[in-house]
Amino acid sequence: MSTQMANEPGVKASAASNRTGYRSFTLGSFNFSRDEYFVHVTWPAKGQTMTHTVSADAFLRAMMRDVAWGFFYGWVNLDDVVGTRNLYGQVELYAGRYSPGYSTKGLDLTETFETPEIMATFKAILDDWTNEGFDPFASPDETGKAWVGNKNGNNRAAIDRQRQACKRMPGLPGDADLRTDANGFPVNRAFADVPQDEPEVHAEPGFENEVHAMSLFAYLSRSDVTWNPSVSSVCGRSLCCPTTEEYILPIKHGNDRVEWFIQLSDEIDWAIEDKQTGAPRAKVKMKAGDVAAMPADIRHQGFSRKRSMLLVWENATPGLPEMYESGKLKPYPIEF
Amino acid sequence: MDSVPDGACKELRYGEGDGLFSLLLHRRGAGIRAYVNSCPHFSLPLNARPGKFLVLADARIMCAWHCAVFRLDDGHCIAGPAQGLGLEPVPVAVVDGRIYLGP
Repeated sequence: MSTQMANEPGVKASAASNRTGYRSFTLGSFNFSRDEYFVHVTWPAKGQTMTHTVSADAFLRAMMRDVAWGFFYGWVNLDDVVGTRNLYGQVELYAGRYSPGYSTKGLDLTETFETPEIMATFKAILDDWTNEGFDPFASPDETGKAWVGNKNGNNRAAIDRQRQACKRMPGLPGDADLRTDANGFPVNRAFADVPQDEPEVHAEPGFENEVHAMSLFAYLSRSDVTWNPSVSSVCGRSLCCPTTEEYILPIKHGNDRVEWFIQLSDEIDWAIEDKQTGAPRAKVKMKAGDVAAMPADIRHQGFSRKRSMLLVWENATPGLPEMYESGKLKPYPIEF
Repeated sequence: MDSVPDGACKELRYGEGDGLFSLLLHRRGAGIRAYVNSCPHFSLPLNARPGKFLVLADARIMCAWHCAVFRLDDGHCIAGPAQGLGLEPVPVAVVDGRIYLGP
């Protein structure tokens, strides 16, 4: 038997800064700090200290997704330089590895951490750096500028909010509730025109408890988060994750498998780049009803000028990353 | 019983392919808990590799896929994307140092 014991070591945090009130955090050779506007990431390379600066709101939005998604599938680039790769039990943290300007000069760094260790550190960073009134899940229009300035409280209600988990379908007895004004999910300002009536179900006698239906559009119109699944539907290894999107996908996702997108409403512009180098590969404008398969060898970032609805379809079959890496599977599902 | 170290988890697998049934055993002292090895988040096994579990302090386990954390005493998810859900318990009994499935 081989049981892997993964103790959660203490998070390595500094005392709060006398000037800004924020703590700094160390994870392996990496250091994370923030000030009034910016997050600073440093790492050692070739005997010097590399520095990278990111706007604090963008960084918090990105790290929020990495934490909420449990490092997701494959690569979560927090920006063009820093990111994580999920090894499922361990996580790589890298800087510059997939940025040729750094990697070709040997100025990149990748370190591998036990998942509980890096998760604990990332959660601590989010907790300390998210000011009262700033919601990293919200669009900029909905959350304002509370991220700017010195430390001012926290917003644990936002960063610790529970994702809707569903056994079968929202609205069934014992399962996740449908969303209503009364349970804290008002219709989003962008979806005021979405009908809120639910389907009528007329079951044959004896089948009353075996038939259920819901309006996914109504459900999604009440989503309180952006670029984060409203609920997940699991059928075998097929995962359907309906989401609402507004502004910019805070990370660049480099999946370790093919990922399908179905645009349910409005539009999203996608920037597709080579996963390894970031070289541009394509621009895709998805309109309502469009379907796209994101290949396994790219990274993508979406831009939604108005809140839109997107269905993300993932294949959770274990062993897929190895099949793509070995070349057993091509990185795209069809050839033209 | 002796094949499960105190505080650790062990995977028992029956069958293969689509018919695979995976069981998670956890031992605390003389007590054994058993759960279906399936995270309620995406119905994936808690481990990404055979026999490799992320067992945390205070009798908790983290799903290797997306970091849902469960109490091993009762299977409840206490952090991560499956909060409000739990592992499916399997009744077990220990008789003369051997573990039997069933009430």
